Amino acid sequence: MSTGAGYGAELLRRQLADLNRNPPDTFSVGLGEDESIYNWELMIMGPESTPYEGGFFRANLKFPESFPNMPPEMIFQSEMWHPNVYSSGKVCISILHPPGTDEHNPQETAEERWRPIIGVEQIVLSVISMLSDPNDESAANLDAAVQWRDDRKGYKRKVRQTVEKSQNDM
Amino acid sequence: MPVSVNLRVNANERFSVTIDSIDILVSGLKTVLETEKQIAVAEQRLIYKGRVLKDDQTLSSYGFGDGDTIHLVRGTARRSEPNSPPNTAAASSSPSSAPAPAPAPSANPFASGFPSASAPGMPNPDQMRAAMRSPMMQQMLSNPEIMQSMINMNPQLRAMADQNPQIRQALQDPAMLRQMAEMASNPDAMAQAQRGMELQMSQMENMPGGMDAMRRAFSEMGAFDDPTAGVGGGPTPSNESNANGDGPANTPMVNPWSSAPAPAPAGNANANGGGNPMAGFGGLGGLGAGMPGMPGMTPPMNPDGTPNVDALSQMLDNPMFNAALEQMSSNPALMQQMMNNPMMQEMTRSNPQMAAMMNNPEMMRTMMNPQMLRAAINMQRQMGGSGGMGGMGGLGGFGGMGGLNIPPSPSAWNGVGVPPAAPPPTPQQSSPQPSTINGLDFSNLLQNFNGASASNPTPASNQTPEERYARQLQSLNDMGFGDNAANIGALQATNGNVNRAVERLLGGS
Repeated sequence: MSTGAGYGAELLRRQLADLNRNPPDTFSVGLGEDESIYNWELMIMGPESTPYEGGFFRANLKFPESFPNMPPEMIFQSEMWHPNVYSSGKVCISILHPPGTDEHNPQETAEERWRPIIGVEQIVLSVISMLSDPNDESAANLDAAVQWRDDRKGYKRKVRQTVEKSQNDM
Repeated sequence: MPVSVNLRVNANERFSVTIDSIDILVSGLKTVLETEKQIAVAEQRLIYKGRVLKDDQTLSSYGFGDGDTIHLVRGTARRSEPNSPPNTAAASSSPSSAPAPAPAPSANPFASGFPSASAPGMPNPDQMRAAMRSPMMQQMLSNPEIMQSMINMNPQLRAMADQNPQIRQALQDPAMLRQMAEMASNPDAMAQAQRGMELQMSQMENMPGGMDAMRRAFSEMGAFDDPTAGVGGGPTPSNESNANGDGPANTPMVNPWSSAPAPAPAGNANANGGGNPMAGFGGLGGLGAGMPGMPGMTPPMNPDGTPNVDALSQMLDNPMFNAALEQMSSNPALMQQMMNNPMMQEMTRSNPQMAAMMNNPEMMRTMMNPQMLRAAINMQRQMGGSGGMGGMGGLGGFGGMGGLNIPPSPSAWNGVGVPPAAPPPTPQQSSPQPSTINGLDFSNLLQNFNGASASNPTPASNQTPEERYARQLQSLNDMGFGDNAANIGALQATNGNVNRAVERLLGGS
């Protein structure tokens, strides 16, 4: 099992147990292959009324040892086409940015960024909400961002392809 | 050994099946589900702990345990509602869902609750933020145990929670509490949380018995109703008649779920520092008065923010309240837990008298004595301030928040203790605020909440969309969206949520 010790690991264990006892509707979580408490596996069900509807997107949450002082990373394993998801699958969303302010990104206030009181469920719900509501101010996938802005139809078609792919992968 | 498998289809549909052994193949489970639920094996997708279950594996190979929950999703997921089989009522939170019979449409307390939540007393967001940042607050929010003990302490609440696991879940879900707290302190988060709220609301509404529990809670709280209290109030018949959510947004209707947050004036406890034993006493008074107030029954306040003494006295006479007090004062573990809070420790360190007091169970009990509390109230009244009267009462309001209350005043949070770091609110700040504060237009947000509930299917759903969304249409018009057809389209697609309709209209999606 996990080797995690200390407050962060305990916090994660509790949240995982909670999420398994009362699974949310829109996603499911468990530990990854290595069974480390710092590495979670997620299955996100594409939100209804969005192009992602019907998709089953696999992702990992990787927590640092310094959790909850520092935020986890979220990485989609399934192919994702979204302005705020890098082609590597890494999610770029303000609440997963380390606390404090960023000189490169001054419009992002401390409130929007990671705070230790943010729970895992909140992270995932934020990411799900991001799926339906991309933030074109901080694009991680420039092509997707441009397409989202200029060619909404083409964007949706591309997303639908990833949805079908995710269904076939099951 | 037979094990039970809980299946979760969506927010409204769960069921469980019993299988002979966890060594069953996933394909075997699917066959069982096909027989039970008439969902073709080929259409079933089972998701457990973040993984899709593969047909040729056993449940045990995924570490499945008795009573665990598996997501069951229909796999023929084309555009049409992948999550809801046709024979179930679709989640009303789903914008795409058609009107479905609502379990108890006329009893929706939220429909009428939200509009009146714009009553005076909405805390200043800055104060709120300061209060939320306090370590004590954060610890409390992130500690499910505390919430748990608070639930268990109150027999009424516990009964409610036992009957309705979802209510329990809502009350002790740290994430949800946190979200609400954040919402209160951050206008942006408020807007974001709104989406989650809609979901929660629909869950509550669709839960069999949920509405009844709510209603029961309401009528129980009616005991604390005092017509003389400006913002306090209980359920009134008009709650019901307005329950379809179409009423005007700012109906000055009394509603216990929204009555709580009248900011108390800066606590004497804060202002006088640690040297004054009375100050600590005031804070504790608040502690006693507020703690059991889980279902949202914060001490009634007058519009000017002073506690309504008559209403408080009435509250102190209520047997339920007394029972809760008794339980709390006789629960050393809970007191201990509260004492372990760094804030409290700081407080007791700087005030030896306080420490002595807190460590003396007899003393605590005496202090929780209603007569004592009443005397304290009177004393405070004579002193011209209300000390920490709000006290943990704020938490009471918060419990209500589990059922979507608007969080209590920040000074109430401060009242329990003496967070020296948190600046004592000035009298001016702590007087009730108008519904529009610092540019944050609550009435608009609340209108949206109302819109969300208005979208819940009601028997009167033969209204035309124009009629149903008349108010939201007016808002859109006022914002300069002139194309009525497009506006109606957007409102229908967003279930009457003005904010999202605007996004939609702007985004052209």
